[in-house]
Amino acid sequence: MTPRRKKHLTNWGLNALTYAVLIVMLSPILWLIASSLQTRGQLASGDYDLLHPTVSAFKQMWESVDFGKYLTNSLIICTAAALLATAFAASAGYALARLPFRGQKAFGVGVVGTQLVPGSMFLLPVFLGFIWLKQNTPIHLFDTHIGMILIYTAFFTPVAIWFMRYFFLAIPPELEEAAMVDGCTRFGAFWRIVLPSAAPGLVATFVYAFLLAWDELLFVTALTANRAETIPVGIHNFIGNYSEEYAQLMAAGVVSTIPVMLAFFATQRWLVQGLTAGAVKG
Amino acid sequence: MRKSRTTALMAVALAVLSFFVAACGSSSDDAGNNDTKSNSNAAPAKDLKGQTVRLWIMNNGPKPVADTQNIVAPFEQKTGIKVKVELVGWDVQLDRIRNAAVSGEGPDVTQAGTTQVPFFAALGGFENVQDKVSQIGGASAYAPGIWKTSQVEGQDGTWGVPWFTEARTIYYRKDALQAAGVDPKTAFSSQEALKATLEKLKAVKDIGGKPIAPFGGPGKKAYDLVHNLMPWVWDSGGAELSSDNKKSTINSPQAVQGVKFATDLVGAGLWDKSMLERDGQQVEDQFKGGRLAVFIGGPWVLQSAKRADDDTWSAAARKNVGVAPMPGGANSKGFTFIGGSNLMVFKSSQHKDAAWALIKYLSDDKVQAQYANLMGMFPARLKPQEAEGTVDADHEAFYAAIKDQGRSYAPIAQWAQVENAYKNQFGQILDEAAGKGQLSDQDIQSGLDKAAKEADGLLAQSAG
Repeated sequence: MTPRRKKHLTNWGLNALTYAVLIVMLSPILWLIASSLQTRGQLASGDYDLLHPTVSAFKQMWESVDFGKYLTNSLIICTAAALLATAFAASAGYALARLPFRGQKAFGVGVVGTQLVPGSMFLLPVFLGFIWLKQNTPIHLFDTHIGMILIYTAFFTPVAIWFMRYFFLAIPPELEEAAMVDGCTRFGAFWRIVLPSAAPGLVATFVYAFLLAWDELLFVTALTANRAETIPVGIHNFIGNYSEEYAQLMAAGVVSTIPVMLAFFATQRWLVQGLTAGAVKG
Repeated sequence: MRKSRTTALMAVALAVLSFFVAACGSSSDDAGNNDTKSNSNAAPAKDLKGQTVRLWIMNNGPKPVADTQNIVAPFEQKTGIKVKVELVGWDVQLDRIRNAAVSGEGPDVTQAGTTQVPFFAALGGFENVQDKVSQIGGASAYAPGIWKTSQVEGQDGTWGVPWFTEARTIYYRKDALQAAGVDPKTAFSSQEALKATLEKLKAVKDIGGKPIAPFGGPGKKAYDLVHNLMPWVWDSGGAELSSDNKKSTINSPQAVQGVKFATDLVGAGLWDKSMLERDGQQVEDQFKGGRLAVFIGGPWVLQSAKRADDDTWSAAARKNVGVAPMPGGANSKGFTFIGGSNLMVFKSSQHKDAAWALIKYLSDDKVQAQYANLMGMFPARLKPQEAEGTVDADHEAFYAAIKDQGRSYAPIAQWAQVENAYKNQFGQILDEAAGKGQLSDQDIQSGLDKAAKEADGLLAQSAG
């Protein structure tokens, strides 16, 4: 076998392996979509009719469960929390990367340290705190959008700070120095020069926080009652003690995946660029 | 350095500002709730008009909120009380109701599973409605087994009002029995008759070219596995707990024989082993799809056969579905589990009188029948139950099951945990039967000993 042919065969084998892995990875999503286009009876019996899909489950899912409410709540809470976490992380990450201050190292370690404690440890104190606030002050956080936004912001900001710190470290300090020589203040240089340069990192951080919040179940189950429930809670309502609406469950799964897919594909370029930059340029 | 400090201060100020914006926003977000509270405070005690009662329900049927809202519409028109029906998934309802009870932040009324009532009542967050139940006929308006689900062992009071009832009984395929040459009237008259019927059904490999198994029941994945196996234990003279509810008796020789009846069906190939990997709904769908000749199900299955939009039914299964009472054991008439849901009023409710008015309305015989029909359940009250039981022979079988064969568990706060311990061991025993075939008494005894040990630990812990 000639070296060229050997190389050709190796490439072909690797390509085949790549596609095989891709198919395995995509198969749950394809199965989800195919199932959402079947009737409840077809899913129950396993007799899929892929040639005659139906969208009836997509119509019924809005009637049997108030899915619109869960979708809206998820979009509001996750977008706001991801925006706030990114904003705070940009400020704190910049300070950690560029502005030496007393206790900087301890602060940095503290930020990482928060990730070592399981989130569930905070559930009871946060729950009791929310209830106390509601019963003793005009600040109502239990079962409100604002409550969930604050919780998710608090949870995802530490890891976002660490992300952003690496992105800022990757930007040459000479750029800011040149801006300040030209008359910019420190904040002006941060706002006009550093932030635009760190745009991929900001996008990556935002999408990362958004995805984490989108799937969170434990806290939203405990800290909401009816008004601020998000999709992970709402989607369970298709499963009852006396009936399970499989087709509608699958349709709800597809609908709830769309915003995540859109967020990912719309920002894919910056996301990949941002995550790799943050990973290697520390 | 000075500029660095300024930037850091700005970042802190931004964070503080965001918090205050958030806090202010939360007040407006919750405005609706405040309005409700101030209305209730302003209203005279007896004037209930204009109050809003929040009612938590679980997904009981295909359109749970819309159906319930329709049921309460005449009540709203008549009394001027608004009912806000809110859906809570069965998966999260235990956490939600418990959190609401301990925190005081919940609705006015909630649906609760009958076996959950003692647990919730023990939390102390629910109203004792003992002094009001005479307005709805009191205990005499309900079957004793159903009324018992509103009580708590060792406490004098009534913590819930039964809303709707379900019982499990035998479903069979008439055409399959005909093919096997078995008379439906005697096919399920006793446990021995059931076994003999299944043996004959085993020879019927298919109906109309579609393969069919004699019997199927769910395994460890079924949330209600204990409800499915306890009837065999009760039939054998066993019980879940001692008479004082202080010790587990799930490892008694009688209980071993009860569980053995089930595992013998698996071992003899009469119980389709593949069903043990499914949950209750999936097994139900297998029966409806025509793959099982016999299974044990609730009244909602019968109701769904009449719904043309339920396409899980195969034409043959829908046409040939039959219902029979549960078979009796050697020394018993045959037991079955009766459950359903009760309505409970939160102590923290700001509208207790309006909440009770709603419960009174939902306890009306006609409304009970209407709601139960919508969901394919049985009403909780005796009178509408009796009326429902005369609709046809199938409904009669369910009525007989509720009236004569129905049994539930001890009304103790620890039951939910004990049931979970039993469920895990029952699931393992059935798995073992699927793997090994016939299980010996010793095999089963060993599994049930573990369940009893765990249950005793839970009972001792809670008691202490």
